[in-house]
Amino acid sequence: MSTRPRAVGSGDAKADVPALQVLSVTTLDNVGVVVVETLDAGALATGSTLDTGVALQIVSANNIPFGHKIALMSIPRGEAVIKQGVCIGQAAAAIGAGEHVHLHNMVSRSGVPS
Amino acid sequence: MTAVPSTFTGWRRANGRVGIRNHVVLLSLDSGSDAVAATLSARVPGLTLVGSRFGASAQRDLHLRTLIGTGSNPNVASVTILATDVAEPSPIMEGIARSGQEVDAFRVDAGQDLIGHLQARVQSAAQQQQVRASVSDLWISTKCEQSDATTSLASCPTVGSMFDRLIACGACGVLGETPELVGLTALVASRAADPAVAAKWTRVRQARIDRRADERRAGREQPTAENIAHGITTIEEKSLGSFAKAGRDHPILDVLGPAEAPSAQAGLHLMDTSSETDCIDHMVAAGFVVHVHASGVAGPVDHPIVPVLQINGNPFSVADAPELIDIDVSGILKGTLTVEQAADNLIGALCRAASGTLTIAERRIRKSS
Repeated sequence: MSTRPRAVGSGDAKADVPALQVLSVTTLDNVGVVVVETLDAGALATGSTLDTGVALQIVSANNIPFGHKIALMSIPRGEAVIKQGVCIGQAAAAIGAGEHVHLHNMVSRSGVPS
Repeated sequence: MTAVPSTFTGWRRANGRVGIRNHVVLLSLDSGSDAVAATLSARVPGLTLVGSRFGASAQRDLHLRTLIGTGSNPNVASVTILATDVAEPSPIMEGIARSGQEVDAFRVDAGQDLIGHLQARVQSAAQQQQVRASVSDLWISTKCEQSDATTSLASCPTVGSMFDRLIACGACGVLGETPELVGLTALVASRAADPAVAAKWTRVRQARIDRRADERRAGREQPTAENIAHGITTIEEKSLGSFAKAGRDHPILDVLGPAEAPSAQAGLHLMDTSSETDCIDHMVAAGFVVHVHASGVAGPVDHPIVPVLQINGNPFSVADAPELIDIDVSGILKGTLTVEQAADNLIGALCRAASGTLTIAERRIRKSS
């Protein structure tokens, strides 16, 4: 993380740095989070991995809103969805790289009745 | 990483704990005494009014524990209880007195005696000597609100990093909100200090799961409809974000009941609370003196005797409601701020608040009273 520009103050909204569009947390993650207002379908998004600073690139398959998940690689049906290095559920359908990941293609594995 | 600011000025209490505020509390116990208490607090400047609806709970013992714990909190200089019926305050008065706190009870018709008593209480609080204290004296509580991807990536990890560093210096910390931690039981259990604490967590978690049908009827599903709209899909994902507040370094020493004081003076704790605002009341009643509130969408959150610092990492919320946010960590999502730098900012703000700088929530309360 030391390679990243240092903030001049808390928040530092006006710093002149290339905008990140997708963030993942660990290199194990197969989903990232969209951090722009909307990621348009077909857009080539650039991003970063928080733990290692490794850059990532992904073409978005859908219009994906801020805060929502994007598949960083294809995830077969039944496979674990990994965010921040932790399994947060599984693919309920085959998910292609760049697709929006949410209620329509992912379910909990916790066994907690919802 | 900058050095952790290590001291602040506060008030040392009879029980050895250090408060960061010196509230002269007027505690009204029933709706009949609320109006009298409001009149008195208008007549006697410097009182902190705690009304009869405060800490209300369907469980009477929890309500009592909340009132006793709040009155005993180190942020309080003294408590004057006001009630329509004199018999009513006794268990509360006895409970508060057990902590070594100055406490008296009056009937609403005590008149001039009461005004003189309250004036003397305010004066004596103003004369109390402040002491220099160390961060190891700080008891810090935390909660998240309106969770989204930014609480999970930015504000909650910043709180976690703050705990990693301050607990290493001897501070005491607590997080709670069992309903949203139930999705990752193994992750929480793996942080328990010993098997007995892990077993306590498993029991508390199961009890919450057993009550989920009631929660659902009350419209409190997890993740909530707002969480889902903001991109959180499963309970595991919500738990992961919420548990980021626990940091990485320190074991969970105990799983406390709501409003239960920890037996250790230092270290990280989990409290079995709801995800509603009564969570803060129960943490304060356990003796925590400052509260860090990590929000996805910022909203007004405060407490009558404990400074609330709101931390937010959502660039849209920061733009929409800067007047609600004490610590802006939205730079984390832009790549302009690291979690460690954000934790520096949070620790700096905590130490300033501990030394008396009013938080946004405190300024709002003062304006409206």
